[in-house]
Amino acid sequence: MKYLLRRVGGALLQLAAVSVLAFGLMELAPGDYLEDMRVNPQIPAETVARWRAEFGLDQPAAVRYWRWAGSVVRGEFGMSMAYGIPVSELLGPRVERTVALSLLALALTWLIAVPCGVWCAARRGGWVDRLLGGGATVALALPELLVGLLLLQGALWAGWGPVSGRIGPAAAVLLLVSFPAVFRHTRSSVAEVLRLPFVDHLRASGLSEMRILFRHVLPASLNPLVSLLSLSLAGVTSASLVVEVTLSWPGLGPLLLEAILARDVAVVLASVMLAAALLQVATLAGDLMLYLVDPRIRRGRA
Amino acid sequence: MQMRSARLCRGLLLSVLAVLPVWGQSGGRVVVVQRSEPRGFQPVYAVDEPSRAVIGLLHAPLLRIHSETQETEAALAESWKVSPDGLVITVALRRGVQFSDGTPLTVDDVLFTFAVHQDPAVASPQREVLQVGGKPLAVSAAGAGAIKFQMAEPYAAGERLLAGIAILPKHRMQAAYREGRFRTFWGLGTKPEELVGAGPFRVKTVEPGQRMVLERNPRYWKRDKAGKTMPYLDEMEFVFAAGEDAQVARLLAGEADLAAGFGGGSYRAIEANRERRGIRLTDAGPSLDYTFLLFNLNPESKREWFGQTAFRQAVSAAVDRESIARLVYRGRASAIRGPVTPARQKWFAGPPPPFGKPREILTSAGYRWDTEGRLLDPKGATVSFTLLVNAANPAYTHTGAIIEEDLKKLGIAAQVVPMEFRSLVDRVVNRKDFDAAIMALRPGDVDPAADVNAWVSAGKTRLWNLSGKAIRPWETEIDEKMRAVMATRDQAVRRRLFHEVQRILEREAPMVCLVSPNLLVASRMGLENVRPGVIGDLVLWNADEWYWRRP
Amino acid sequence: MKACAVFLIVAHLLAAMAGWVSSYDPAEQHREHAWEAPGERFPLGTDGLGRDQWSRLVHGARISLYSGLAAGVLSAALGLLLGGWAGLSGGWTDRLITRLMELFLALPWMYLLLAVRAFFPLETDARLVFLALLLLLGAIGWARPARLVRGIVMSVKERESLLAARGFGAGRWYLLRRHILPEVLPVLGTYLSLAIPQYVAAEATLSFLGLGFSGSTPSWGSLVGAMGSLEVLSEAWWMGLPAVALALVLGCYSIVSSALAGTEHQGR
Repeated sequence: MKYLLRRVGGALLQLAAVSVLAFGLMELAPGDYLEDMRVNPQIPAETVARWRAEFGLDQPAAVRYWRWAGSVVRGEFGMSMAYGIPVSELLGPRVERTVALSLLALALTWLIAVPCGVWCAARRGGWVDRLLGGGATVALALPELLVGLLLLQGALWAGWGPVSGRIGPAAAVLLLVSFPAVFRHTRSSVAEVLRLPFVDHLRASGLSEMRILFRHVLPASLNPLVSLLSLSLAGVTSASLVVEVTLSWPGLGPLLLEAILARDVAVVLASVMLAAALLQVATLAGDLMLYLVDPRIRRGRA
Repeated sequence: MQMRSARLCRGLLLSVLAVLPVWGQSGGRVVVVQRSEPRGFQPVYAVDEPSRAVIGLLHAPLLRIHSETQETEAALAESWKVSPDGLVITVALRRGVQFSDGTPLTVDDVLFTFAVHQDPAVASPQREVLQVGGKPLAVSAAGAGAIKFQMAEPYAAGERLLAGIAILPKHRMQAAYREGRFRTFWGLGTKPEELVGAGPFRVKTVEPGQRMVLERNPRYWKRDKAGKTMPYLDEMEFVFAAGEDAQVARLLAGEADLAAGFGGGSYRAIEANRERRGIRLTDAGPSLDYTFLLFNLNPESKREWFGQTAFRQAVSAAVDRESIARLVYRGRASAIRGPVTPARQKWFAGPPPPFGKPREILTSAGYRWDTEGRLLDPKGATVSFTLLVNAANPAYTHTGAIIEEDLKKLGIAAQVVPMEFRSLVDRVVNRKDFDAAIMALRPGDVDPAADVNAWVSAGKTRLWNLSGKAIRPWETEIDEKMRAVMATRDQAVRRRLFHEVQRILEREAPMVCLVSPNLLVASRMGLENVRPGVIGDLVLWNADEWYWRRP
Repeated sequence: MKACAVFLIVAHLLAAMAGWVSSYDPAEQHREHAWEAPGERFPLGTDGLGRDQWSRLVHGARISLYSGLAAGVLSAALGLLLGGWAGLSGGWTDRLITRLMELFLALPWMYLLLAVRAFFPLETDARLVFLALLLLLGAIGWARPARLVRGIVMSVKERESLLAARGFGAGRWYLLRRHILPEVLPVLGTYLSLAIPQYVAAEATLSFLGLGFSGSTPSWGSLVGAMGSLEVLSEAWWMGLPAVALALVLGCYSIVSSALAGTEHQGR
């Protein structure tokens, strides 16, 4: 319990550090939100100057950060310059959609990739292994961007009907791009365990192959997989941002891309903090699971 | 038998209606696919295109500019007149106009609207636009249902000033304005019934990031010639697709009825599927946009060559604009030499005299070539410079590649440097640390008033020289002529002077103008009256006249 | 596996000798031959400006393959170093590095790319900028391999064999070499086979998002990015060939590297 409290305290500190560093990074990049208006002949220079003052862009970085931190305390997470409303209001519905998409894709990936990996490790060199291994290799070579675009075009030519803006196709693309990593890691770590002598003992004792694989070997090879789980959550979430953009899924992705390009500072900061918080939770969960799964670590800490 | 003849009659009637564009059929919905979603509903602050497109349907101005005639016409105003000295515009309000919530639109709302725009605390982008000779327009009531606009000095485009200003509902916005919550008022999360305007449509539902549905405003004032209420459509839906390809894909997939603002490549892709998908393509010719190669002529510029008219002319003569239009825009763009495109009808000065040969121009200015064909300036140094392009837009990176190759043939080493857009603008506008760049500008109107900002010394978008001063004689000449263009109401004189300014810009080539992309629209067969125009919203400007023709 | 290795070697050689094997300057425009299908004159066809796709492919392969490789190796090396250090040291060093990892995974690095791009003078050779930015991506990417390495080191550390060896007074280096590296390397190999394609693809994604940095210098990312447009797919199928080539090379990469990781095990 004390351990958990310390972890949460540390996490909060870390979030603060993330916000400072992210803010600093944004300061490094040239240009600000109003740059676009500076080359619009329809907007007078005075307007740009007045908006600069209103958004506080004429203030030193420290002051702007402080103001933003103040609004975090109020629960607003700053004001989006593009949308003119508090970021918390803006992000709410989009975060829900991103989380829904990511969780769906993650669940699908693990439900499909882990059994496949175990099966292929047991039948190394078999045709299923070669087929899936080759498939994973090809899938691996395709960036999520390309998969998304290809799906979009394919659907167009095959006349499958609308693809963009729907959760199914987006989740399918995510599944395809995150499958190889999970599949390969499962396969290699199960294969490692299969080489251990205890498997031969189990085989000798006449247990069925299925039972050996899924009841004994899989749990024994869970350790590296569990640390992969939190990584894969982060991976799926970040891949989902690109997929959302290509397939027009109205989650955080399109909004964040627009905000990054527009230097809409508060929106970017809030999204970054959100990603960091998600990662924190995932790591914490991962560590706890590691603690439960691997008796060696449990003994070591006790 | 009777039924059949009734059907026949109706069929006949419908086909008669179909040929008469002024008599639309009511009903139906149109789905428009846009590349990004509106950021809010606040008419005062919205400066981005998607927001303005939607807001333009929700509100109405006193006068508007008809996109086809390019002249002002009455909207919420019944009529207007300009005093002989050109200083006073008196506008009579249309009687019986109501906002979408049923509240009558009165002189009070008009006064409120202009007070808001002119209030420094509001920081409206229109505040400076509504100043003539440095003094704000004086707005006052002039008897029952009339408003008087008094200008400090004669201003040629006087009534056009009123065209951009949507009349706001005072009863809805006053409280927010008084309490200083105007900036955040009417954001994306506002309840539809609170969004009140006098435009043809009103908001029905909003799903952030996904879609936005507008429904016809039953209290819209406009009637067609047959006395039928407008708009004809029941609903307008906006959906959003990130990027041009996604936009076109959604159109082709049948998820949308109308898309605009795509390039020549997408035009071809749609063309190939046009019949199968039942899509009508419109190429409305050049827009007001112009792309150009910008030379850094600021006092900070490190390149002496750029300061020489002959060098700029040689570059302008060397660039193969037809190739840019043909290869980059797939033929859906028009080559231009000056910043005023043919779309501006009477304001376009016509094609300029042909170029000299670039090599001859350079030779007569003292340039030579070395044995390897490299250009040497009069001092004997090789000529090379960098060319900034917006990395996000393939049209610009390709245009850059074409210019790079054209100049290579002339012995000039131009290196294309792609850069993210805001980094690029920062270099060009704030740091002035660049050699040349490919940029594009869009004037807001056909009237010369729209170019003042981009051409005169005091203008903030005179991108070639942002020092605020006229350093070269021709810059002074442009300043003086543009001042005269804006001070007289004699349209013939304005035209002559404006044509002269264009000739100066073509000759001096501080911006080597390249092409004007054509205005391209794709709409579903059966959707009638879609007539793209260059002013205001390129396609939605007459959405109140759109209708579905039923078979 | 052998076929893949041969293919990879050939691909790398072709890329390395891009100047010799290409028929044209990759930037040269044959404007009357825009969008020409593969034929005698242009073996892989031409793009919208009439540039020879084969020349662009081999030149693009050179810059992307070697930069991607460099970035992948850099991130793996940094990850091994920091992740291994964290796992071995434990205590506050471990906590610090773990926190750093999480920080690195969360920050909006695109801005650093923009800032670094702005830092280079405009005249800098585009290929140099490309390499620098991809290396930067690699350096930023250390956190992923580091997490993997740390997880393994932590678990190996607690094994009986290691405890016993430590009991016998084995030195740190001995433990690292004999017990930890053999466990870590295969995982790192798998990681690398995932990472190299990722870095090559990262550039494609960046250029799709409007943050591309290759310009008129062809890169694999920009070539693949160009096929992503509706126009190209509908009437210029040969523009997809670079994507096929990319998929082949990257696929062979993963096959060869996982095979290598496998043999290493058997040798032990």
